[in-house]
Amino acid sequence: MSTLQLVYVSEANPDLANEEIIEILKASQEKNHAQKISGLLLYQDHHFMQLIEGEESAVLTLFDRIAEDKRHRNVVVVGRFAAESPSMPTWAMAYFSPENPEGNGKKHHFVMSREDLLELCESFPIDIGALFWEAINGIYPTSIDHPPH
Amino acid sequence: MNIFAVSGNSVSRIMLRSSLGEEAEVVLFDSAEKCLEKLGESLPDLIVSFADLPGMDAHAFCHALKETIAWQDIPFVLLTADGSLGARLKAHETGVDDCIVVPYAIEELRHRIRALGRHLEKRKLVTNIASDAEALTSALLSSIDEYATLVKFLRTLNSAMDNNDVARSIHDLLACYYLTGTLLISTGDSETVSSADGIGLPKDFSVMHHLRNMDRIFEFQQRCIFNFPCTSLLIHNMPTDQAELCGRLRDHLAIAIESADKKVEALHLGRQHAHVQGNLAELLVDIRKTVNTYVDQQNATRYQGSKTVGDLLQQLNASFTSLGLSETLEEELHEMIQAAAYKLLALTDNPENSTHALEELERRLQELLEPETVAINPASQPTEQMPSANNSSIEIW
Repeated sequence: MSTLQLVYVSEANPDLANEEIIEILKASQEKNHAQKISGLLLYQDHHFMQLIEGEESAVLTLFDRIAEDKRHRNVVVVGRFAAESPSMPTWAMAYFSPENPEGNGKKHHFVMSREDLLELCESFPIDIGALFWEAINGIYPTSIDHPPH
Repeated sequence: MNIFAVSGNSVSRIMLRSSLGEEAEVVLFDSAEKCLEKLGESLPDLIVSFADLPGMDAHAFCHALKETIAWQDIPFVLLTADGSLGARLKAHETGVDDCIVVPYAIEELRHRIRALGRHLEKRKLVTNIASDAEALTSALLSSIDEYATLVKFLRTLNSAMDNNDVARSIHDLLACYYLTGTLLISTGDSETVSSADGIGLPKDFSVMHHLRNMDRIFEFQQRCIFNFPCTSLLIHNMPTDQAELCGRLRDHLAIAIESADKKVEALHLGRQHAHVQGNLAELLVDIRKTVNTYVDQQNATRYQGSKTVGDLLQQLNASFTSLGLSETLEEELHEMIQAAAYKLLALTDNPENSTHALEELERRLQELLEPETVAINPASQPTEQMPSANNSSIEIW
């Protein structure tokens, strides 16, 4: 079964509280698991970058719903890839804030650390890894034509 | 908890470490072969493996674990993209303890592993309890066996006929307890030192005599000495490395040697009693002979006396004819001599004489030696009819 891997970036609404962001992350985990969608959601500096991967129609349906969510804006697809199987075995999240720059913390125990995310970037397919590596370093692509490194 | 995580995919390995690393120590392997190699050095609490592995696949991996006694109890969690019923059933037939479909939810993975961890703890607790129960049962059975050996010894001791039997019982008891020792038995009439090998050497005597001056029970390293009035036992190899066993054996031996001491004393008193009885029996025979001889002599004396008096009276009667005495005078002389003769014979017929006293003494001795039988004194039954002074058959006229 072929897998569609979709990467997008967006900006969080300025008045979105940290607790609401955490709720977004938790809710997405439940829904995506039900649809057998795996991926990775990164939040940093009011920006979201998300990898959604799975069966094509399920991925596109999910993306449409995400694009319409009012809690973020300027949703742009920056990567679209076909693969034989998903890169991620699960749905994971990385959440970095000024108070929690490394992403660790037992309070948000389902969230990955910066160290794990960097290591993940090196193991991802090169195009996907490059996108997330840049995002971790504060570089957010603005379109799908943004050249990968 | 220590977890071995196996995946041929680096992203999957990183995610397993990230998902489980907060609650467990996670060691990552990129193949089943490398994980099996590590199992030879250390054992984890749980193994998580993706189904799709390079080289040996996860089912063969799980099968290899379950076929090895040292590894078969390690819980195995399989992560597989094939969630079909057939795939899950095959996994369980292989021995997989839990099967999770990929993509998995991190929280679900954590919960299932925690559940397996709790189950593992309970199983370890049950194993420990069973092990403790087994150890306790073994100790109890050993203790029962020790008591049975002691009871058997006491029964054997009860039938001992001499000090050699007592010594043999003690050394047999020591052998049953896997002990070796030297035994001293000392009574008024003998003293022996022995070991399982036989009679002791002269140096053993001096050692045991020296040790008899110590306390009732004295211990030094692996040696233990038990001192009682007639017996001393020196044990050479008490199991001091096993405190409970050593304590039990010490108690058993104290009972055994005290019982043996009492038996030795009883045997000694028995021998003394038998010696005295023997002497009394000989004395009785001598007394009986003496009494018989005395009675015979008394009877002979009485008979001779009666005969002599009878002859004298006959001679007097014969001499009266030549004397030409009157009939009245003859009768007076006759009665006077007869009266004197009766008085003389009565001296030997005194019922309170020593013959009766000796016969009474003999009867009492006989009763002392043989209380169930009453002695029949041959001297009390005359072997021939001896004439008595009271017997009117003495013809004097």
